[in-house]
Amino acid sequence: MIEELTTVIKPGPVPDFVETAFVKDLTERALGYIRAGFPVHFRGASGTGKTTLALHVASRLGRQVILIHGDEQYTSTDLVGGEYGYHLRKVVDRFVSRVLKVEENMIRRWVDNRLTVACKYGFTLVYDEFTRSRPEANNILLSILQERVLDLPVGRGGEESYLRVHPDFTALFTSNPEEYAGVHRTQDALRDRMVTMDLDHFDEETEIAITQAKSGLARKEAERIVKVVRAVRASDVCEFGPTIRGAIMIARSLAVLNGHAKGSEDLFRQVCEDIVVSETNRVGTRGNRAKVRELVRTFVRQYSQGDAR
Amino acid sequence: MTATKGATEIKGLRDIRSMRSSGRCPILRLQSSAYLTLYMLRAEKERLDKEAAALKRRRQAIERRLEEIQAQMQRLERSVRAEGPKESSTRTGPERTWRTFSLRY
Repeated sequence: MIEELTTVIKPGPVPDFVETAFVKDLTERALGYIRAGFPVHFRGASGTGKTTLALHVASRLGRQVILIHGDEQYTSTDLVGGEYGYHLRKVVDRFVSRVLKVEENMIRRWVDNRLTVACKYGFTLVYDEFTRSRPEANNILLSILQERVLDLPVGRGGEESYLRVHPDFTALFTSNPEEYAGVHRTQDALRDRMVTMDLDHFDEETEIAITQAKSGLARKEAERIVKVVRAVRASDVCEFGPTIRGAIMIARSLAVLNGHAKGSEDLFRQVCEDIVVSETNRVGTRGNRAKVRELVRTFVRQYSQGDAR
Repeated sequence: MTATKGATEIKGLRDIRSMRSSGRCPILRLQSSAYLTLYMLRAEKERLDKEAAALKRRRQAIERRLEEIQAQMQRLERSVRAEGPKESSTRTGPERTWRTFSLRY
C-alpha cells in the first residue's frame, strides 16, 4: 500500500519583484541549461539571491514545485520515502450465529516522500542549501540525474523497485560555498552532473531597484543606502561584506521609523551602523565593531554631501 | 486447513464396481428370483436413463453459457482495445489534484 504527500508549492513573484536586465540574463541562461536537460546549481555567498532566483526559474518552468531544504539529519528515507505505520483490518463475521469467524489483516503503510513524488509526476525540485545534507543522503540523486532512474527499496508497498523519472522532472540546487557551519562538501559525481552558476552580489542598479521596491523609499534614498552598503563591502575591512539584505533592512527600518536616508538625519547613520555592524561581524569584538562603525560614518557623510538640510 | 473429503467426493470412487453393480450375489439364486432380478435391472435402467437425460440437458445448458461468455469477452476486449492502453496509476502519474501552497519570492 503506497501513499504520498499531496501538497506542492506554487511559487510566484511578489508584486514588487525586480527583474532587471542582470536578473533576466541569469534566468534565461538557467532556463537554457534546463531545456538542454541539465540540472542547475546556483552557488554563491549569503544574500546573493540564490533561493529567490531558483524559485523564479522554477516559476518560469510552470510546473508544480517540490521544495526541500538541506539538513544534516536527512537520510535517503527523508527524500525517497519509507514505512510510516501500518493499516490493521479486522473482520468479525457472525453471519451464522453459531459460527464466529475472525479475520485480521495488517498491511505496512509506505509513504512516498518529496523526491519520489517529484520524479514520478515530473515536478520541479528546488533543493535549497543541499550541501547541508550529508553527501550519502544525496547519493540517490546520482542515478536520477544521469540514468533518470530512481532506486527504491524492494519492499515499497509491493511495487517495482525502480521508478523511471518523468521526462518533465527538473532539479534546481542552491549552495553557499562560504558557509562554515553545518555544511558538507559536494560529491564530485553530483557536481559533475549539474551546471553550476556562480552568483556574485547583484549589480548596483539591481540592488537599488530591489531596495526601493522592498521599502517604498524614494529612489534617491535607496541609491544612497546601496552606495553606503556597497562601499563597506568593497572596503575589505569587514569579516563579511554586507549584502542586499542589509540594504533592505536599513531601508525598511527607516520607512517604519519615519526616517529618511539623508546625511542630516542621525537616525539614518544609527540605523546604518546597527545593521551593517550586525551583518558584518560573526563574533562582534569591540575593535571590529568600532572599525566598522567608523567606516559607516565616513561613507554616510561621503554619500550625503549636497543634501538639502 | 485441509477439508476432509466425503466418500462420495473422492474422484473415481464411483467407478469401483460393487457387489450389486457387478451382478453378483452372496445368496444362492433360485429360479423364481429371476423375476425379481429382472425387476431390479429395469428399475436401475430407468434411473440411469433419467440421469443420462438430466446430464444431457445440463451439458447443453453449459455449452450455451460458454458461448454467451465467449461473446461477452470478445465484446469487452474490443472496447478495451478501442480506448487505448491505460497507464498504470502508480507508474506514470495520472492527472490528480494537489493541494497547493503559494510561495511568494
